[in-house]
Amino acid sequence: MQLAGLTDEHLVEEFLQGNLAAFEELVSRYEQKVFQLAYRLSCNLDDASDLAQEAFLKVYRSLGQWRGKATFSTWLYRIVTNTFLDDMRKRKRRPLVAVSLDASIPTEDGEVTREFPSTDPGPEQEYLQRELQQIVLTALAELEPDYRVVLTLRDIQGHTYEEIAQITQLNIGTVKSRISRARAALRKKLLEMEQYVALVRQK
Amino acid sequence: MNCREVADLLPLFLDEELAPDEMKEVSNHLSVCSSCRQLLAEFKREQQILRSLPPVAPPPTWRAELLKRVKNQRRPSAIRFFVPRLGSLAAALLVVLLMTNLYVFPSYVLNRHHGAPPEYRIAVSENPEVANDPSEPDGAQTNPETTEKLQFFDLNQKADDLVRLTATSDNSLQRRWWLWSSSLCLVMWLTGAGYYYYQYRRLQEQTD
Repeated sequence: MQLAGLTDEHLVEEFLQGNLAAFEELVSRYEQKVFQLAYRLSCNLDDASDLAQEAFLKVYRSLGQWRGKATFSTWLYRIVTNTFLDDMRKRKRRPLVAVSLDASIPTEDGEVTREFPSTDPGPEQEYLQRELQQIVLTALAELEPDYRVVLTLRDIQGHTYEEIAQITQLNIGTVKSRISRARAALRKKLLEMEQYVALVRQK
Repeated sequence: MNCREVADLLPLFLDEELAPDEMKEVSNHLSVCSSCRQLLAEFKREQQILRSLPPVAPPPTWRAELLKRVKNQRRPSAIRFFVPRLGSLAAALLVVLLMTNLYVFPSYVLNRHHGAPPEYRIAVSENPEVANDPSEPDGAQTNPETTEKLQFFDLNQKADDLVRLTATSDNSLQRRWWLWSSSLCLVMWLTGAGYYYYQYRRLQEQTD
């Protein structure tokens, strides 16, 4: 059987009939997205690896209960964000280690960064862009977990508001107000960072 | 619409997620207010930075680790959850049944031979020869040699009478004791079973 051509729903059916390869196919379809989400939420490689694996393990254990209420991917991302929020609640007293500015970012092909469309991409611009990214990530890591979840889903993962509402199981109004407050909170954090203000002025 | 109101709406204006009339009002305001335009530009820049983050891929060994964990792992079906706990549930249920039997058991056992013909009847006599003769009939007899009157008792009959008395008597203390202890056991058992069920539901909810 050619698993690659099947829809997610058919793969789940296959898996429930005992085909473990169907699960592996689901992992290979979503591991990049799930890992990226986990990495941006938990801000470091070890926690991200754990979080992403934990999410897939939960999926493995409970695929039988999924029954297509949401699309598979929505359900999967919901498990990631719920697991993350649960973890955060459990270790409230142990705050996250903020990302180091020198930390290397694992990417699919080396460390490629997309350029600003408006600027012409000299090496200096690229360096500046990298700096800004690191600062924004640091600020993001300091936001409340609920804010980090919606901002990551919206701006990094690129979901629509409707999708975010389904993933977080909030109504669309709550999603809007939460994203709005998250953007304001991120901006406030950034303005508190001298390095950011200096870089932005320099641009 | 003043600048303050517009500032609150800008994050959603960015994604064009405002109601159409609000979108229009905000853009009208932006066309005349340079400081709000500036603010919008800053929100845009922050969003742009987040969007420009390079894609992240899991480390090379990540998937192998995951699949290894998956293989060591069982899905929590109801059967897999409750079977390991069946031992303790059954043991507790056994205690409940024992409690029940403590009431039923004594009268049941003691009455078991009631009504069945005894194989031997023991006669009591001061004369050992008469007393030990199992064929001797019950009741009062006269010893022909001494003309002494002897009263023979059927001890089995006496024992049966005693048992009947015990079993049918209104032994309210015993009954009350049974009632309380077995219902306490039942309540404890239900509590334990309920707790297991709660745990099971929580395990399931984690993935909802």
